[in-house]
Amino acid sequence: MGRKTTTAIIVFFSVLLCTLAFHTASFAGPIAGKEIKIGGIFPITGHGANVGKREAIGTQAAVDVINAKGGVYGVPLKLFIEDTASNPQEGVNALRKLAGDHKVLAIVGPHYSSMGETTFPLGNRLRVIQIAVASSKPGLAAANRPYAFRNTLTEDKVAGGVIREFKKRYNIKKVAIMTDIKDAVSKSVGTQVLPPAFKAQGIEVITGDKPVTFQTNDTQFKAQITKLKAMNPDGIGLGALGPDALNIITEARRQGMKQPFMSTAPIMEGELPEKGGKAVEGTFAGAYWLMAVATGESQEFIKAYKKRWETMYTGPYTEKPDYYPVNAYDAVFMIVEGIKAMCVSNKPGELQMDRDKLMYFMAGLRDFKGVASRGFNCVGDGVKDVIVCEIKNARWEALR
Amino acid sequence: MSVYTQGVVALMGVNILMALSVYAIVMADQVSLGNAGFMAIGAYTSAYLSVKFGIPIFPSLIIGALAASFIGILIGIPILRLEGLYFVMGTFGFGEVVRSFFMNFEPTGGAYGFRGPVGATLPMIYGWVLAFMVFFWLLERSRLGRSLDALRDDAEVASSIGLNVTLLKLGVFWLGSFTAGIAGGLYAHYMFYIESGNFHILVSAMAILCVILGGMYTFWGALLGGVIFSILPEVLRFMGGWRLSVYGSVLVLMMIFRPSGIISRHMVRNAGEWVGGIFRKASS
Amino acid sequence: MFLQQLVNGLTLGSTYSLLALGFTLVLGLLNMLNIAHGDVFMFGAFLGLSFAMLGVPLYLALILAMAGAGIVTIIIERLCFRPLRKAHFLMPLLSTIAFGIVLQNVATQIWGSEPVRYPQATEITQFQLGPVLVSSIDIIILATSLVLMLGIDQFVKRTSFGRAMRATSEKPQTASLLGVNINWVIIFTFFVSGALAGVAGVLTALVYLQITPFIGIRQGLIGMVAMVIGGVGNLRGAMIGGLIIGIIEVMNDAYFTAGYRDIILFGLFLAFIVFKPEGLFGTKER
Repeated sequence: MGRKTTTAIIVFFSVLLCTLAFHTASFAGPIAGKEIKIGGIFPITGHGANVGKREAIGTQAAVDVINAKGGVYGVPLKLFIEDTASNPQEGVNALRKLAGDHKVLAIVGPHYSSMGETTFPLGNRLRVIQIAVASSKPGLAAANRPYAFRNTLTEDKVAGGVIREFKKRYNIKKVAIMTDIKDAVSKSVGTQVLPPAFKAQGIEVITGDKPVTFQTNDTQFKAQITKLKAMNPDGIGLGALGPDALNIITEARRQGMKQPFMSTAPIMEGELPEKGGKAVEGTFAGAYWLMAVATGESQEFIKAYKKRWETMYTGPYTEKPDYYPVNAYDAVFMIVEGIKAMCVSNKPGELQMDRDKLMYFMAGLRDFKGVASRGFNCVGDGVKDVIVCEIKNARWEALR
Repeated sequence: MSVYTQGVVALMGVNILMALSVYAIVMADQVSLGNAGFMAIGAYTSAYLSVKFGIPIFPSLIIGALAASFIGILIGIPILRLEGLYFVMGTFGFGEVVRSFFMNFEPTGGAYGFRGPVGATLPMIYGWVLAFMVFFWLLERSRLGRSLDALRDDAEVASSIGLNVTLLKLGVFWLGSFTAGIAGGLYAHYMFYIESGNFHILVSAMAILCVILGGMYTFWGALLGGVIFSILPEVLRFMGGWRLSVYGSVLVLMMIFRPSGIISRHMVRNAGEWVGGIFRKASS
Repeated sequence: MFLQQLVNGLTLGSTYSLLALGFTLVLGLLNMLNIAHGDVFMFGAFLGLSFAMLGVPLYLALILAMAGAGIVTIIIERLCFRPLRKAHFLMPLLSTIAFGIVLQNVATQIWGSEPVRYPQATEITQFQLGPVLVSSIDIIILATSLVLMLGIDQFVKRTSFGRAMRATSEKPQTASLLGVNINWVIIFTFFVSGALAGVAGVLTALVYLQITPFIGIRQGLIGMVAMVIGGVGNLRGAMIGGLIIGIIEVMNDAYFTAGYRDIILFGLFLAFIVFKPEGLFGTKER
């Protein structure tokens, strides 16, 4: 070959290589765009302000961790948070804003069951998933397939384990049940979950189908405790939220009752051990995450949460994470895993397809390894391991 | 219209209807703090019919509103005898009784709420809003409307010139409870779920605030008030945790500085000439 | 058990009485409802809590909370009543609803939306009086309420300022002509009304041990019910009305279910409004 030809060939291949390199570089990442948008819908004001803020911090903390490691294939996550104000009308508008204006791929939240009752069906029509971080009203996710998911345990899964330990420890043969009849979750625990769960373990339910009743946030429980005391049970099963449980048990001790109390997850909210003192020692409940849990993921979550807390909704009521922000944190990681596994493209024109991909991913997620989440079951409710706990030394301690 | 705007506008329609329901009763110089109760009756009745019997939305809305207005008449007869503040307290007592009734009434879910009603769309909601607005527009121009004006000005004089005051009061009460019943039915079919907590006293109070701030001498006031109060919380979203404080403070200040409402009686009386004046200017 | 429930009802009822008294003072004076009264009750409870947490002894915290709640009520008078005297007669009522929203939100921002613990400054001792168990807290509540109620009753009846209050409520123009400073009477009445709510708040918090910014809503409404049953504008009626309501509520919870509570209470309210608006003990002439 002549020198001119050789030069021509070298130039040709160089140009070809450069052109190929240039084109490959623009195909390098499977994710299009500058950021991946996800949404959070929480009560930042109103009744649930404290817990909503904690959930927001937990969600943002997960985003921080993921973005610190380079995001998803180099593209960072961006979290949009909208306030439901603990009010369904605003919750609906918040969802529409996230889905329609911000055009997020998936939404973490809401918190309350009654919020979910109205945002879940809307999410089905807008065709975007919501991964609720609380809300354990029975049947809610099941009634709202396919886009509704709840990364939380329903109470019936917790009751059996707790009752077994409760019976063993205190030699329980007969119980009385006291329940909230206003809050849907507590009411279902007291009237639908606990009675059959007790009977299944051979324990007699003295109150039959007429439990002692109260309303959420009642200011006093004298009447109910007087009635309970007269029944003389071996133990008491509660359908109540944490703050009410605290007052109920305190009043019981004041009136001289010494019997132990038990319930499922809701009473673990509200700092029962710290505020209850000696009165609440020995109370049993069940949860799926405690701050004392020592796993690596749990510690990483706590670290990320505490760091984010310093610059977001700082305050004494948001400082300590409970299991709701854990659910939110895990939910973000689930979404990211879904984005990778389902090859979500993040292209504006493929928004609906991306949203549907995430929905299918969540529907089949069974073996997720999160801080306290393992995935979802066939009706969209969360799968987690139950930890039976008792109050000892002014805190919740896991049995065994 | 974005999905978000659609949502805000749709709920605004429901709020406007609630404001109109209060306005109807205001036309006879009474203020009802219990219209959330009628809204609840309309909502639960129409939702139950749609979900359990598969009745299409239009008839179930009507039946729901008729149920609400029927209860309205039953309650109205004893309560309308009361004056001023006692009437207000009576209506609010009624509203609370309805709310706690539905909290206990198991067939419609009780504390678990009632899920399932669907089918209210934006055009449907505004169809109703328009229908009611036309109705009120005609009412204000009619002889009946003038009788109500007279009643409002001075009930004793009105009755001495032969107007049946009791019947007029009962009539507007029926109208108000019917409107609130429609608002409730639309709300249920739009939100997909209702529970007794959705119909608490603040809902009634907000409806009254719409009327009083928009201007209580014409139905346009209720419309304006409804629009403002639906947009205000959305506009204030950026305020984060202090949103509700700002909202409440804005209301208190508005009442101090413009207690007669935005659209005053003067404006209404002169509205005709004002509009005519614009046309004259345009054609000259 | 019945006797015990009766005592329970009296204790609960005495806090309602204090609230009803506050409502009736303002209503009797100005013929207007202060719907934010329940939220003042809540605010008083929180103020007491804040002072107690700073280490202030309980009785002093109580007094400071009373003063604070009284001041808040004066603010309400300034913003929601005085500027609206010439407006539609219902405007003040609605303005107080809006103010209540602000109070709840401010409390949420300062103290959080979750229940806050009241430091238990006094040890609870139980006394067995025959078949009935009474705690030291019960006695404190009953005694404080009784003293306050009797004090106000006597004050309005026997002092000259009390006479001025009664004169203003019955015939404001005449009273003014006779040299009564109407504005001062109004401010004072509002202050007392607020102070009563503040006391009720602190006492309730001592029993309840936890308070949230949202306890005022229902408490306020029940106070209103007690007021109507007793007789609007009638101080004794408010006191007894509160006790009756407390007993009814407790008996309902003991023998039926808590769900029926509001239906019974508000149904009673409605029945009284319609059929016996002067209440059990008669209302002031207006």
